[in-house]
Amino acid sequence: MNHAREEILRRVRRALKRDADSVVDPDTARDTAYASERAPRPTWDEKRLQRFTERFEAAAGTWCRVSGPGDISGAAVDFLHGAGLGQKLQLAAHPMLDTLRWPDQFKVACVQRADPGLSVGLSIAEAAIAETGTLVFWSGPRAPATLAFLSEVHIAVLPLEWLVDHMEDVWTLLRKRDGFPPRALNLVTGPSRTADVEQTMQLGAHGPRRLHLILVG
Amino acid sequence: MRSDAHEFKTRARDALRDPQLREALGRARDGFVGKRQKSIDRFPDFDALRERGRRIKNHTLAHLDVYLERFERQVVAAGGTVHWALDEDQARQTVVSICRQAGACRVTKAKTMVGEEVGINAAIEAAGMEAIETDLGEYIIQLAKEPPSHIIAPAVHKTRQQISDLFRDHHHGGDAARALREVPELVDEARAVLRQKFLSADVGITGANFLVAETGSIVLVTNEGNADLTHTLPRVHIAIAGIEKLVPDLDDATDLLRLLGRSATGQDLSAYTTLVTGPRRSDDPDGPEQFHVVLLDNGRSRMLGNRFRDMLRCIRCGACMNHCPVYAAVGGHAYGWVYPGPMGSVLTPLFVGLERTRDLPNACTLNGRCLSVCPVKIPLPDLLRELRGEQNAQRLTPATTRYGLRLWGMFARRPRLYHGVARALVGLLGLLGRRRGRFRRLPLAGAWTSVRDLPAPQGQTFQSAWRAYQRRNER
Ligand code: SF4
Repeated sequence: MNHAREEILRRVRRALKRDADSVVDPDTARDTAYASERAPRPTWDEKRLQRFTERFEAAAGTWCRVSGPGDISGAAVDFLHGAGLGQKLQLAAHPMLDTLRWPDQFKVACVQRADPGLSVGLSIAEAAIAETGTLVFWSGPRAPATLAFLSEVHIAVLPLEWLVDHMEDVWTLLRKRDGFPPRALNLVTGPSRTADVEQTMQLGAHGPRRLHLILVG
Repeated sequence: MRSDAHEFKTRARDALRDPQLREALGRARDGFVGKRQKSIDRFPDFDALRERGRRIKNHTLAHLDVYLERFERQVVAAGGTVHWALDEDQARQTVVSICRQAGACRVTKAKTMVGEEVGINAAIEAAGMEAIETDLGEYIIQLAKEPPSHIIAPAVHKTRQQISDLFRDHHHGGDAARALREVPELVDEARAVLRQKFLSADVGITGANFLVAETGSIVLVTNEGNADLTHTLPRVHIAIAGIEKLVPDLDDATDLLRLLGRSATGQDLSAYTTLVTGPRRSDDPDGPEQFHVVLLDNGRSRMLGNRFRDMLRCIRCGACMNHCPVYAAVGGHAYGWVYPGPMGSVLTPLFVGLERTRDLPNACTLNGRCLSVCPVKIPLPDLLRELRGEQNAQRLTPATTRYGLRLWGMFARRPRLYHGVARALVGLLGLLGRRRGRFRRLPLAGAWTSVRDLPAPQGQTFQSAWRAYQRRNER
């Protein structure tokens, strides 16, 4: 389809009244057109964390807060117990989760790929956005994407210092990281949902039916 | 996809007589319009953001060649492949040959309007493979063997009863015991059926809401999470998108995402927004081995060079159809092709040809609501007017209309004459209709009086009444 490539580019250039060697500097033109001005963004009066939790709840997420990483397992156990979700759990292979201690009767497996038969998965978010109540997951060995999508219930963990105001702040933060962008960067705002039957909102369309967040710090 | 846009009038008439459709459309409009308004009330700067969206897209389109090449370089750097398709045919061939080379039997699909445009499902099935829609709405209409009737909610025209019936026939062999069922039960059933398809698919096909030149990423937006299962689980991922989907960088994509969620479903952000870049990395536990992007022209480069370039800003949010009184009355199928509502009435003639889509530009009251809600400020009413002019120039409008317009034009260019004649006519009609105050029948107005009476004018034109009013006030 090399011919198609040349032909499409030729047509585009003709439509723009340019030829292949016209010198164009889109970046300067972009600054003049709009990029030098700050884009309008949603603003709020509350504290960042309050905005985040308010939006997160509006998207049907539930959450709790613990003081340190050592308390993650306790919070997860309480949540599973309270929601009657059994004692089985799949974890991402993340250093923050390695040293956690779990009650003896709990079956906890550290996985690279979620087993669709097992219903609860736990993984760590790399960032979160207060503006929209959104969690950001970086797909890879430390956070397999299947945990966030094949689980019936997804438990996410977020260290509070990774919470930022706007989506642009996520890009600023992650652009600096090695390997950015990962194969999939998932911005998740609440559990899976659909309104395709008579406009009635129903949770748990294809992804998790519930999203529970453990805030750390 | 084949166009049935020439049947607009018949289809519209049928739609107006279909009580189930009326019920479904009424529910949908109230939902979409209300939710959008609520989300915008929370964001006072929304209009300024619309202007920003307009500029982002205008700038990108004015430098489209550069951004396309930049995007391609970044996709390749991330280990992916870019394919270019001039038309529907090439797009279908490209997709089918990638599926064949992968030895695919089963292909899962997340909703893609460009996929509908080129008729990807039929091509995959003709090649002996199974194509399964995974967006619940698309899945429902795939079972019903119908095209989508809305670009965001493809099954918006279906009632719960109709969906229950479809599931009974396709999942339960027509078992009569399965009557009308509740929404959670229907959603759960589709989830279970489609989960098996996800886990056994060889190729996943998605569209792309945006293509980011900075990183060579595609942005995918869903509420169900089906696009993510579609690109994460199979061995091969194909994304298919029009060349107008480019944006320069992630910050631009962010501005447009803020516009898209609010305009489409009244959400600040959809539940799942994903940036996909290349195939699985060496240490990745999941993701496809191959990542392909198919860039489709199919008439877009032509629009870039003519009066319809503005239409290429469209981010496919559906707000224009949600606010359109004509769409609300006749639904999406009347439009006869992939894109319904105001944006479809502009796009379909441009893609399919004016000849076979005569009614579309005229199925509009020019009330302007679509323009007032469009997140990238596309002047849809102006573009529709342009198309009408074009039709007239190509003599595609009926001769009576053309002569009528020419006659009217003659008067309209001579204001004194125009007002004089108008005064005389209005005076005459006022006199004739004085007794009843309305007309049951009137020559040349048969289309109006066949379904309702025409109120008789009061005997004075607005202009003369206004002048008289001003004179009174001056005294
Ligand atoms: S024309 Fe505007 S309102 Fe209509 S779908 Fe496109 S972006 Fe949305």
